[in-house]
Amino acid sequence: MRNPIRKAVDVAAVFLVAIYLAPIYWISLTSIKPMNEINSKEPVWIFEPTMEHYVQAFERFEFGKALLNSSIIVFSATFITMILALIAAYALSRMKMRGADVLSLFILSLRFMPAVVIAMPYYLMFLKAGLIDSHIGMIIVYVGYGLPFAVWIMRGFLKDLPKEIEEAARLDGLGWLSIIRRIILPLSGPGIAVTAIFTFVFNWNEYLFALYLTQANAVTLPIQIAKMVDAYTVLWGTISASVVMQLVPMVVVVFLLQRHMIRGLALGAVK
Amino acid sequence: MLRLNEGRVAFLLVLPTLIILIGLAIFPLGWAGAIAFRVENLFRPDIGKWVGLRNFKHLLAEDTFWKSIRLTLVWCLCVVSIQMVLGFLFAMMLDTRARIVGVLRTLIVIPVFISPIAMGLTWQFMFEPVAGVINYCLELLGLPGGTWHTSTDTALMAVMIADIWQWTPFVTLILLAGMQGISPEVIEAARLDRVRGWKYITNIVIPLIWPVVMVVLLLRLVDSIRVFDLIYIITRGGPGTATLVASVYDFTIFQAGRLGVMAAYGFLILIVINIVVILFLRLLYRQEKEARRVQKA
Amino acid sequence: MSDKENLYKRTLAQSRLMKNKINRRQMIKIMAATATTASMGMGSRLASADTKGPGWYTNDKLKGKVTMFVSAGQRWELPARGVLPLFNERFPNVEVDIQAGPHGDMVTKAMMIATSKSKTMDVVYTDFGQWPAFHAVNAMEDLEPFAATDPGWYADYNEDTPTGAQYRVPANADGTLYGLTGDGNAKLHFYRKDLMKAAGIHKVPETWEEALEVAEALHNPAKDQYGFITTARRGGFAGWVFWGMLASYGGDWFDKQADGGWHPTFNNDKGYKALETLMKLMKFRHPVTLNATDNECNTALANGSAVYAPIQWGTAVLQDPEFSKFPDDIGTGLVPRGETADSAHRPLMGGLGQYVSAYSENKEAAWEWIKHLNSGDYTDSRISDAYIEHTGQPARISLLNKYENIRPHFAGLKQSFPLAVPFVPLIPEAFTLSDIIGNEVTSVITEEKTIDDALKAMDKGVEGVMMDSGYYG
Repeated sequence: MRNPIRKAVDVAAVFLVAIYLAPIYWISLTSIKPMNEINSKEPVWIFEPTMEHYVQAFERFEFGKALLNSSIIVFSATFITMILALIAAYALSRMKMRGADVLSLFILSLRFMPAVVIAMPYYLMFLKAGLIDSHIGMIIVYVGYGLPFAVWIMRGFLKDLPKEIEEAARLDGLGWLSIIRRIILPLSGPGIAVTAIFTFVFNWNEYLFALYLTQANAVTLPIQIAKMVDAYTVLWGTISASVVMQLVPMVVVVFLLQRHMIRGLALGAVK
Repeated sequence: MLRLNEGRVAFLLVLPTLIILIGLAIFPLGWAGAIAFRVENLFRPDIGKWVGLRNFKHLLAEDTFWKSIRLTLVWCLCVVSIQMVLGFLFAMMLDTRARIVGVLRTLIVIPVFISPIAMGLTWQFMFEPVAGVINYCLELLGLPGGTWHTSTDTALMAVMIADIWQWTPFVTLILLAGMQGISPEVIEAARLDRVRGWKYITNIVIPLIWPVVMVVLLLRLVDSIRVFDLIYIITRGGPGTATLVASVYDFTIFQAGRLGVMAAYGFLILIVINIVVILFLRLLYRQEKEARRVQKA
Repeated sequence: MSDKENLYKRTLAQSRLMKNKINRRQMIKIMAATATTASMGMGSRLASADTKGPGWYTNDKLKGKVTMFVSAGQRWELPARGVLPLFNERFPNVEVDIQAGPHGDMVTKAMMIATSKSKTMDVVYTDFGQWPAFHAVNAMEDLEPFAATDPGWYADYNEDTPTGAQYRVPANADGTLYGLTGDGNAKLHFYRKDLMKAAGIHKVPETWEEALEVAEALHNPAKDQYGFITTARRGGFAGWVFWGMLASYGGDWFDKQADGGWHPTFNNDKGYKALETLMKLMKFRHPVTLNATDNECNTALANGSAVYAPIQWGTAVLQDPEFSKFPDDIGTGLVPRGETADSAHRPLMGGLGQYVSAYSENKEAAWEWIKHLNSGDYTDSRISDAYIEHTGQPARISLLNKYENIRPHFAGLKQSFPLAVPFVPLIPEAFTLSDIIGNEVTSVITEEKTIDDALKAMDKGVEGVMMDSGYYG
């Protein structure tokens, strides 16, 4: 019999989430409003819905191509980052290594510099290397830019796993790769999920590097959205349509990932 | 297999990451380091000369520089603490074994995913004092509308609201993960011991999820110091200098073409963040030791 | 003489009158001699199937790929795309790739492209204020040899485009041509005709004093109507508002824009008057003013929450029923002048144009493309039709005349161009300096500094940059 207070809180939680998403409803509404209804002195609630903004996103702003570019670049970069980060974080958190803390901090501190300062040198570097406006170039940048945070987050989660679980495996003589694969990986669901979400979001919405390092071939979604603000008007409708269209795959990805956020039943067994 | 010199193996595992990071960081940081001591104008590449510490001196003498530092610190303090508190509250509300938690978790984290540019534009649109929907709804409820991002008094608060709205769900998600990992035996034991309410939260929940709290706290802290897109889109640092946090100020310096000053400021920010993070970690490390003792109990 | 040739002669005559090359009597004689049956304006396109002018030609032997960097949106990318089909008709073997970037970061990105000596961009579509910086890095190809291959077209271009809008080094009629500027803009005076009438004001303000009266009269926050709006965002935007007002009081950036000069002249009575007047206007400002660029201003004017903008860049959106709720009620005129003896109507002027990259490997094709973009009725009236229809805002006087009835603010532009001054000094440091003075302006508006301190800081800041660049010191 469930605690009635808990049930009341559950209901409240549903309401909370529903209200919290109010700006999302506003965006969705705006995405189907005709342009001159959007730009009025008072918000307009009754209007004739139109799909013109969605169409414009595809026709004028190449939404399909940008979506493809963003997907290729960000998924690849996130995947590579996760692998490298997992290995490095494992080493920094669970293996006996002198100066692990200092090294971790050093890695993280590389990203404390505001992005604008390093945008220009990146442009020069990539120009020399012929990587401007290429998918590979953008993947490299995003891996480099996302690794520090990814390592840091993973390390935080991995440090938290109790030492006992590995000891048995080490006594059995298992090497680091097997330990990672068979023991760490299954148990670090939440850490991996959080790191993946964070890295993914960070890369997906990244603007500055995409602006200076792409031109027409590897253009990503944030650039296209920025283009919807031209010198004289803001195309609110098209921006809203782009947001709505991006949300659908996001929700799917998160829903799949968040299942791994529950950990500890196995941990409880160790205790 | 490889029991020999674990330290070396560990270093080898970190090496690929280090190579990539240092490879990608060396030239940019070196370049920035060089021009921080020069006068370099984006629009005048033919005129560049060594000026030593002049860029730094000018910055430190500027009112706007100190204001931007102050704004950044205020921003971090408010935004991080509010996000942590709200995130914790929400996580407690969503910490249910009911099946709906999966759906709720997914839905509430949606704001995190929206591009800060698109979201910034949307907030700008909603916050508009005359035509925006927020003031409209407030007036419907009989409350006075606000000036939000258009007045120097309320602009920082308005942008904070936008950022808090977007990132609290992330904090919620992580804290929730930590909470859901608390084993049922502990909860049962607490219930039997009649540990409830505030005592339950402070003596049981928080210590048990402390490692997770540390991770997300530091993450949000570092992120907040570097906040850029959201503020830049909504106010460009304005009105006047009301929301000119560090990264935004640096960007306006870049847009004016003054690359030397931009790099100098970048290094100052780098140093400040490093100091803040190190101090913070020292502080948290002590707490962490405390929390681990509770865990073992 | 055929109808279309007559039509062409008539439009050219109007533009020559505008430039004071002929007087009214001469123009009337020409008009009488070239009476046509076709009417002016868009109708002529439909009436006669043959739209080609005396300069029409095609070339299917010309091959190559032309890549153009341009800002996304109105007046930039859209007109270029609008005239592209006609270009493809004339040059079927030239491929034009229009690559658009976000407008907000266009200035820095264009500069990076120019400095990088990259071969990938053949043409860059740029803002007037950036020309000197591009010239300083030798990014632009000398266009005189190309223009010399078509003297008729060149003569028409020179006649039809205001000298102040052209890009030449040095900046006078004899300078070398480095870019083509088919687009012009000026700061205009936007007002709500209906509200002014209702308030009993029947005269469009001429001086800032009169403008203040209008702002006060129309200011009605209770009804969500604000009497003043301008682009006062911190940085260049606020700087240009101030410069526009300073110009109208007879002031200038420097004592002399030549060797021995370059000393800033903001801290004087003219600068004081300009800032003081701006502060008075700010009492009636729309809430978004301090954050605003043209975007926010136009949105507010279009939805009616702002009703008066005496110093605002020209734009078609306010009179476009798709964006504006008051397309017929918004009038345009000349930016006010000061009341003092030195004052005069001196609206700011800017424009957009294109240059051929000095590093391009397709210079001839690139030239044909920008020539096409900047052509008027001399080549084919369909070009200008497409240009205007796709949000182009021409610098050519003939086109301003021709399309006035569908773009009412062209009348304001026509009025302003002969009196206008450049919105930045023609030096590479233009944007850096605009940012410096703009920051001081916003600090005055937010009451962080007094007017005197701000003017002193402007002088000092500008002087510092000029010294670093080696103009003196």
